[in-house]
Amino acid sequence: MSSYRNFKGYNWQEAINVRDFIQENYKPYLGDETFLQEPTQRTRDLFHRVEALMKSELDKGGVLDIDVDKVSSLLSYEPGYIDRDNELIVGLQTDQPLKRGVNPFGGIRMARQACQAYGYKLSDKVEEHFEYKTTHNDGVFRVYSDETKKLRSAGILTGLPDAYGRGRIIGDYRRIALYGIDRLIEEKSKDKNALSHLSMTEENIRLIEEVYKQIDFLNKLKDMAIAYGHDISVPATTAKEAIQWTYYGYLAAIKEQNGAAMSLGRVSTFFDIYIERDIKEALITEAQAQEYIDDFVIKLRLARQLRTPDYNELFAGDPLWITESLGGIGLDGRTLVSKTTYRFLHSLTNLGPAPEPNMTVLWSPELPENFKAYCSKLSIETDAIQYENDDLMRPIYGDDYGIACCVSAMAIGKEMQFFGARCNLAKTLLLALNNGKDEMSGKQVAPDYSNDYGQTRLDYDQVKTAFEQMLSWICKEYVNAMNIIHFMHDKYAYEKTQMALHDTQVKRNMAFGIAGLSVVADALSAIKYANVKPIYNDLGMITDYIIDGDFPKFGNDDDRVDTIASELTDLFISELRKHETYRNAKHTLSILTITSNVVYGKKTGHTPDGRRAGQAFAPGANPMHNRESMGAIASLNSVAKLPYENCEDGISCTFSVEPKTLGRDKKDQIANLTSVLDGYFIKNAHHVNVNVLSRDKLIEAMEEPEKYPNLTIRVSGYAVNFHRLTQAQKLEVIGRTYHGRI
Amino acid sequence: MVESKQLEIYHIESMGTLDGPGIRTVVFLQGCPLRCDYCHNPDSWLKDKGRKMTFNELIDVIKRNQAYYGKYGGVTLSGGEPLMQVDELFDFIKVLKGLDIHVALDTSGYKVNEKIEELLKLCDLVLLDIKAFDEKSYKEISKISMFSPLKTLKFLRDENIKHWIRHVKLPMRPYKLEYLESLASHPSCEKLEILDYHTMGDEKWEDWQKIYKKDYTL
Repeated sequence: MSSYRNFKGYNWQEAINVRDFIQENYKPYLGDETFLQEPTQRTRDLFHRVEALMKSELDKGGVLDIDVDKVSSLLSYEPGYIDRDNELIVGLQTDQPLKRGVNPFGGIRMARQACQAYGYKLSDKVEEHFEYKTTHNDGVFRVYSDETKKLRSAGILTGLPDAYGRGRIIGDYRRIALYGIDRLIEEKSKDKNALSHLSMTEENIRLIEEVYKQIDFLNKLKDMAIAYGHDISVPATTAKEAIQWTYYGYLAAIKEQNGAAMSLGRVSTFFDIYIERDIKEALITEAQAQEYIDDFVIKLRLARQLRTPDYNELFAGDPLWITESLGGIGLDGRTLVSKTTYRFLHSLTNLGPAPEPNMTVLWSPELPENFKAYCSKLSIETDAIQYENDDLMRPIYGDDYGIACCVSAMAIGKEMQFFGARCNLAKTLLLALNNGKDEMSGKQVAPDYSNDYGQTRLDYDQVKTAFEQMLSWICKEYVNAMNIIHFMHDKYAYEKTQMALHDTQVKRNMAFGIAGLSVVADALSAIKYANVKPIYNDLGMITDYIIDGDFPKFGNDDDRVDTIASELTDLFISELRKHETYRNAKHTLSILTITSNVVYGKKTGHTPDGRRAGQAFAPGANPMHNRESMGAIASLNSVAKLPYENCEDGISCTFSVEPKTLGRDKKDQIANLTSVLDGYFIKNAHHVNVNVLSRDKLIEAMEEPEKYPNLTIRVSGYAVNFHRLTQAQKLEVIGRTYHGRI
Repeated sequence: MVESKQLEIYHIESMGTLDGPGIRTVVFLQGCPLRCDYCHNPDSWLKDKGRKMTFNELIDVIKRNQAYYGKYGGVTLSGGEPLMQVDELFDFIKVLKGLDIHVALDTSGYKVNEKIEELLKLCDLVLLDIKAFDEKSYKEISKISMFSPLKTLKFLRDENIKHWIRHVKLPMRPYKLEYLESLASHPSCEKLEILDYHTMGDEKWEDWQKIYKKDYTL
C-alpha cells in the first residue's frame, strides 16, 4: 500500500507543510453526533486496567512507582505496555504504566526532592552523573542578579521556569506520520548545510549546533519506535499508523523533557483524513476508528512527570496540559470540524470525564450549529472543555495553530515560546505603597522612591504614578530574568525532539504574565472612587486600609473600572517592550494563574480593594469572587474588554454556573450555553472555561469523595480531578462566584 | 426627549434564562401592588425605593448584552409589577422595538385599561402569572382579585398575542392542572410553565418575611 494513495495536492509533498496537506484533503463535517460509537469491549477492558492503576497511584499518595536508576530519555527504558496483546496504540514513558522516570536536566535538586517526597532515593549512579553536569538550574543561578533573587523569593516574580523544564513548546508531531523520520532528517540536513555557508555569528553557531542535536534525536526517535516493532523512517500508510507515528513523536517529547506544559497541538482533523480514507477503503469500521482514538486518549491519560509536592500543590492533579485544539474555521471559511473532532471529544463519554487531554475548542459563531450544540452538551455533562476565540486568533496565527498549556496560541511547527510564568501585580502595588518594602516580611526588595502617602486619604494620582514607577523597574528585572532563564534552558536543556519537529527558522515569543489583575483594578478603583485611608504599623509601613464609600468593581460591565484593568495590561506590555529579549523574541503577556491564584493570595498582604491578607486572588482574569452583582454576562463582558492585542499569550476566564440557572431543561441549557459562548466571543473575548455544576455538588464531593470519584472541573486553563485539589484550593473553588438565580 | 425619560429599577440581571426564551437581560422594575405570601423580593414592592435610570442608561446596558441574545433571546421586563410604570414602559418598549429587540413582559395582569392593552400589543411575548384557581385563594395569596388577570388573558387570546401562562405551585394549596391547561389552550399560548415554590434556603428571604410582611401587608 502506498502511503499517499488517494491524497491530493503537491505543495505538501514538495516541502514540509502539514497545513497544506490538511487543506487539500480534509472533509468538513456538518452533521450531528449520532454516528459516534460506544467503546468496544476491548476498550472497556483495557481502560478498566488503567483505572485500577490510577486508583493504586492515588492510594499511594500520588506516585505509583519511580525508576531511580535511569535518566529519562528516548532510549532509557525497555518498551512498556499496559496489556500488550490488547493495545492498539503502544508506547509508555518507562517500562511500566504510571512508573515515573527521573529527568534532572532542569535541576538535580528538584529531581532528588521529588524522589524523597514519595519515599524513594535517587540512585548514586544518577547523582554521580549529574555531579559533573551543569543543569539549567545551575546555569540560571550563576547569572541571576541579587535583585532578581529578592523579587523571586518575595513572591513578586513567581513560578519562573528556572528549576524545571519550561515546556509550552508544541512539536508538530503530525510530521512524523505524514513524512516519516528519514524525510525529516533529510530536510534538517539541508537546512544545516545551508546554515554552514553563512557567517559564523554566535546566533548562527548556536542554531547549527541545535539542528545537529535535532537530527541526533530524530535518529533516536526512530530507534525508540523500532523497539516497539515499528519502522517510522517512512510515512504512515493507515489511520492506525498515522496515530501511532504521531504519538511516538509526543511520547519522545515527554520522555526527553519534563516541561511544565507539554501540549499536543491539533491532530484530530489530520487523523481524520487517514481515518476517512481507511473507512472508505473498508479497511476499518466506525467502531474501530473510535477504538484508535480512545486508545490514543488512554495513552495520553497515562502521561506523567515526576515533580515535587510543592509543584503539585501549586498545580493540583499533576497536569501535563496535553492540550488538543479542536474545531475552528479555516482561512477559506470552511470549518475545520471533522468527524474525528467529534471522535476525540467523544472519548469524554466513552472513557468518562478527565482532565487530560486538555480539550480545547476553537470557537467561532460560524462553527456548524450541530457541533456547537454537541460541545455545549458535553460541557454540561463533563465540565471538561475550554473554549478559545478562533476569530480572534486566526488572523494572527493562521488556521493551523494550536494552544500550548491553557491559552498560548502558536502556529504549529513554526512558532515556539519562552514561558515566563507571572508577576504578582497586587504585590507590586503594595511594594509601591511601601517604597519597595515587602508588606509581609518588611524586607527591602525593590528601590525606595520615598513617597509619602500621608495619614488621610490615598491620592489616586500619587499612587498611580508610584505604581507605574515600581512596575517599570520590575518589568526591567522581569525581562532580564527571562533572558537568563531561556539562554540557559537553550544551553543546558534544549528541546531536541520538539524543535526537530519545527521549522529550523522559528518565530519566538517571550511569554510574560500577570496575576491579580482584578485585585489591582479594584484597588485602584477604590482609591479613585471611594476614600481609602492607609493604616500604618509601628515601623511606618502601610499594612491595612479603611475603605469608606462604594466604588465600581471589575466584573459588572462598568467602564469606569474596566478601563483601569485594560490600562494595566497596556502599561505592563509597554514597559516590557522597552527591554530587549533573548533571541529577539516577541514580548507577549498572559492573564492566567492556573490554580496558583491561591498561593499568590497567600503571599500577599491586605490590599486597598478590601481583600484580606492571604485571601486567594481570582483566577486568571476573573473578577474577584462575589463582587459581580449584575449577573454572569455583565461579568463576562468585563473580561471580554481586556484587549487581546496587549495579551497575546492569552486571557483566561473561568465561568461557573448552576445547571438550573442556565435553563429549565437540558435542551434550553444547551441552547443557552451556545448563545453565551457566541455572545462572549462576538465581544472579542479570548478564553473561557465552562463549569456547569452546582456548588452543593462540590460541597458534597468534598465531604463524601467516594460519591463522585471522577468529578472533573475546569480551573484556570486546565481541568482537574476535584479530589486532587488541596483543601485550600477546594474551598477557593467553592467560594468562587457561581452564577445562580437572584 | 424620549431618551431622558426614566424607569424606576429594582435590579438588572444580565443573564436571564428563566423568564422567556434564550438569553435575556431581565429588567426588574420597582413597585408591585401584589403582596404574595411567597414573594422573594418584597423590597421591590414599594415605589421610590429603587434606582431611577434613564432610557439611555438602560439601552446602554441592553446593547452591551445584545450579542448574547442569539435567535431567541432579548429583554424581559419584569418586576415588581412592570405595569405600575405603564406610561414610561410603553415608551420604553417602543424604543426597544425600534432596535429590533425581542421584548417579553412578565406581569401579574393586575390591571387592564386601554393604555395597557396598547402596551401588550407591542410585546413579542407576555408571561402571565396565574396565582390561584378561585377568587378566594387569589385574594389570600396575592391580595388582588383574579378578575384582571383573566381579563388580560382574554385580551391576549383575542388579539393573538403570544403568551406563556405561568403558575407557582404552592404547598398546602389546591392545585388544578386541568384548569391551567384550559387557560393555556389557546393557539397563541406557547407554553404552560409550572414552577416549584422554593424558599431558596435564604436567610435574606426569612428576614424579609419578618420585616416587610409585618409592615407593608395591605
